[in-house]
Amino acid sequence: MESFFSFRMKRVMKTDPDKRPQDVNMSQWQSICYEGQNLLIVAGPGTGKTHTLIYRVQRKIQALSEHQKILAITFTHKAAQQMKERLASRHTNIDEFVFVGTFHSFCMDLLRKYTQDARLPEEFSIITEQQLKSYQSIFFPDEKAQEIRRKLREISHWKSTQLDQDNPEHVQAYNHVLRQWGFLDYDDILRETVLFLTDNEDIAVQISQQYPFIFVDEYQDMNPVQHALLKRIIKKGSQLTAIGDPQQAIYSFRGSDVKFFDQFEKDFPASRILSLHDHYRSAANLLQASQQVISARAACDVPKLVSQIYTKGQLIHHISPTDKAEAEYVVQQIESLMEGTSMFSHDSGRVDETIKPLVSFKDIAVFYRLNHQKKLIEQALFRSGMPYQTSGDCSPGEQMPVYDFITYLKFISGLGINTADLMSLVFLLKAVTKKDQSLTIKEIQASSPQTIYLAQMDAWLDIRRMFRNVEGVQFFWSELRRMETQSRGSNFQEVFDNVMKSQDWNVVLKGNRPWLERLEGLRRRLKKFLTMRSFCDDVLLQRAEDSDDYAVERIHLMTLHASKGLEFPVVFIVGCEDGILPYRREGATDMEEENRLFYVGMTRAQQVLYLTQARKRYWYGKKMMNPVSPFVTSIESALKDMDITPKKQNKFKSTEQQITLF
Amino acid sequence: MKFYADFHIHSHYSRATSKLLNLEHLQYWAQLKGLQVVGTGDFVHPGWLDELKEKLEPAEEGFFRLKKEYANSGPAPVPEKCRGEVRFMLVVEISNIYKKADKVRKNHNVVFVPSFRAADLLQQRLDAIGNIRSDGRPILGLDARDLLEMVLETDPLSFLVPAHIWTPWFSVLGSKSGFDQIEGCFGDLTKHIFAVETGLSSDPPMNWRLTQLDPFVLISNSDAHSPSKLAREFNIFETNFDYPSIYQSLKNKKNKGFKGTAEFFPEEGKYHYDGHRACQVRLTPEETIKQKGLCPVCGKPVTVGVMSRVEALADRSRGEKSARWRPYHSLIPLPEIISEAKGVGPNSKTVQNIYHQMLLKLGQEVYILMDAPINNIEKVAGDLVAEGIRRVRTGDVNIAAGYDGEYGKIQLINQEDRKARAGQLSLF
Repeated sequence: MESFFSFRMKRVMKTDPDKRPQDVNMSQWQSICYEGQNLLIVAGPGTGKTHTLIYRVQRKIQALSEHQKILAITFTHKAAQQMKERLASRHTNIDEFVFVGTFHSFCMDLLRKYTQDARLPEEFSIITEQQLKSYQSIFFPDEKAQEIRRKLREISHWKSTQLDQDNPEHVQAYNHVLRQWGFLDYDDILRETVLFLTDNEDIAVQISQQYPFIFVDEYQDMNPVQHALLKRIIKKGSQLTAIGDPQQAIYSFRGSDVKFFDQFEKDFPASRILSLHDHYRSAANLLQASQQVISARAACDVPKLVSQIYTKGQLIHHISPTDKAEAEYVVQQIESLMEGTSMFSHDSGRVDETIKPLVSFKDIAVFYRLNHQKKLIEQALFRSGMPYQTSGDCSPGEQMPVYDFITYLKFISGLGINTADLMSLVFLLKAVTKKDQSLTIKEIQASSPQTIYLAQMDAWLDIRRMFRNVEGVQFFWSELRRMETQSRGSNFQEVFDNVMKSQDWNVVLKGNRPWLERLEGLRRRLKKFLTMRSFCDDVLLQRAEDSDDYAVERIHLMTLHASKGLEFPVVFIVGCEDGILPYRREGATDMEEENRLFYVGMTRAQQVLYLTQARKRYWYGKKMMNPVSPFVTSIESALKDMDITPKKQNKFKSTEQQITLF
Repeated sequence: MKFYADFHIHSHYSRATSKLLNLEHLQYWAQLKGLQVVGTGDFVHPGWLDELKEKLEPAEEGFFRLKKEYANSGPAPVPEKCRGEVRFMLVVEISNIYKKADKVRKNHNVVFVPSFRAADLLQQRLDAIGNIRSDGRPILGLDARDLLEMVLETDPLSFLVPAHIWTPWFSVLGSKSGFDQIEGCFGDLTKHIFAVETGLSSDPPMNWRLTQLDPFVLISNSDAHSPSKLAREFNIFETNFDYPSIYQSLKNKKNKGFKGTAEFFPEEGKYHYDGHRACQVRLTPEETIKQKGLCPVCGKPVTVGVMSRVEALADRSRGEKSARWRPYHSLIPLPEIISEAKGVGPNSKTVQNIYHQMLLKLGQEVYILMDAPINNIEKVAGDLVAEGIRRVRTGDVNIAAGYDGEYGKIQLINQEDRKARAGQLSLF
């Protein structure tokens, strides 16, 4: 989404570097120009965080010597892309001066470069959660599914918070199998990098010299491993700029710890803390409401933001009788906001006549606390025919058939794949030969080395014999070969297209709308990469919140967590009930973090914010009647427009009454 | 050969359409109306496309005909004088809603493809990016330019026509969410647009006022939401009877083979003039300017209609013709004329009886409206109906123009006409 700032930025002309540009306010300017060693910028929502960062990065580019670069680390893949685009619009060859990426993409580059020194499997691959699920019997032979999930959560938490060399036994056992298969998991990427740099101080020094200026975004959501990584690559002479907002820390369940924010001055001496106060996103009354929400439960005083938006926004608190009615209400409101997406709704008077700003699909977002809440909203939207997209449920690499497709691409491009990746070929083979023969990963592993190249395939492995449909398999094999020959000498966009058009993939993709859609999505990002390898790595490094890259406009549906960093003219937060917001589960509920999450959601809205609530809903099959969310209650009533859909008249009752009349 | 074609219609899979919009009813009504070529509508809808594949078979190139086993399962036998061959063409309307140049754009586009292969390809592409299952006319967040690109990639003979280009809410030049230029919408691909649809809300002279529309041939379709509304507007061809010939006659510079259109009186449309329905205020474009765009009753801005929009974009004066003008006929549907003559509603039994009598004895509706000798009509339907048709043919029609969602009101036959005839009758 093009923000207010990027729009204004384009108009900025090159001027005297010591003169404050028109689109920069005083406190932003102070942060941009700060020349001391380390800087922590406290930036509330809508205060022009990225805008300030970009100016500061630009300024630091002038200070680079030869062979030096700026390292800019963002929290999400999506944020990295946006930042790169904005920088690229003001600088040619931006890649020569700045590395913009997530912690993971930065570490991945390092690990690919030093695979052997880090003692990692050659051509290692990143395992997706989906794969973990399907191979769980290998990792945890004797455990029940629920127990495995718990263990995996525990391992992940351990890996992102502990840096001891001595892994507990169960982590060690799990890691052993993982490596045997040629896999790293998502947490390993950071952890292995930190361990590698600890053992190889010389390389850490090299990196610190290469990257004298380091920028870290969303500093409130750092976990201990990320923090350790920073400590390794920040040496004397490095300058760190961290930016974040402790009121938006929402990832403690993943191991993030806001304490790193608080101890910044201790960790990085010779530092200064500056803050940004002027708010440029939400209408003043919406900002006031969200400030009331965050102040009600914050551990310490919340710095006051000053709105610079002078239009009046709308905050609607709506109560529906049921969760289904809530979903219908959302769709009706969207239709009305769009001033009727169809002639039908316009002519039949379903759309009210008040004049509202025209909005388009991409201007509208619906947030929910938990993924399973979206089902009813999706159904209602589907019936309306309006286009929508969901993001935040699973990462691109986990969505069928992305991983398999990527594996295929790697394989025919001459890159190595690991044993488990062979399952992707088996998947395709099964689909093509229409044989439902089970070929387990164990059977494959028994006869194959850790890294497999197409060129050597015949020499040591023959899964052909394991399938009975010999002709089908033979054809499949010759196709693989043909694709490989064809891809030699073509650029990898052509390779991608060839695979998509190939007969085998056609069989799999035919009429499968979501699958096609995903591959179309991949195809669009392809041109940003120089090699097939970096493209494939990049796809697998993306997390759930990154997966909404579409060329068409749609209404956005996402979890509150995934909404971080985004902004929309119109926002709905559904399920504003105690039990959902805050989400109360067994064990302790972290009221403060839930409150911050709600605050993050509210502060995404620019003009219109709906907080909707249902008196009655079905929650995992049980009927539930919840009181209103305490977060909604902390907004004073003068700021909220109440809108209550009355319960429908019970038809049966009224006929009964009529009958008794006679 | 000479033939009539109505391309843009809908199936029963579209919102707010008749349940009877199936191929059998279309075939039946096309014959009563006098059309030889009818669009299928809605071909990207999976249910409808399946029905089309099941019930149609290839005929002349790019044309399809109803298979024999379905051909006679219409609601009633077709009167002998109306019978004729009917061909179908694969056509769909898409609703595009998106932001461009920082403004919300909503426009409808009619897409033509010559084969099921091309239809499948387009369906697949659209299926991957949006919901094509809930509405026969899918609503997509897709830039119309990008839709055009996808269409062109399906087949060299596939093409796209911007639909009813003056409708305020949903069209390429509409006042509410349109562009000021066709090029603003289709950008670098504008050269692939060669026709635009005038829609019920405009007629050719209104479109001739804009030199920017000179490169496009003006076509007209009924946009029917029920089978009896077919042929409200249609196109006249005199060329070979197949899809490529239609394509060529629309595309070639001189539009050889395309003989013009039959049109609604645009004043009948719901948004012809400006005004406020609630305040019962109807304003011409000039009056609106005098009122500074405000309603004289309530003081709020009036809903601006099609005429005002045309005036705003026009660069030719009224009455001037475009260099590429085609002849056109202004028509009023026959049941409405009978209704006027008889002074009863168009759906009344009286009107329907006379209507079907006329079809039975005279032939197809379009023939009756345009070509049948007046005295033959008089013999079957009486002199008031004949007089009505004569007046429509000569353009002697009074219409109180529509505004702000209120349909325009036709007056063909007034009380005095009726009294005069009644007087004559009583003499006998």
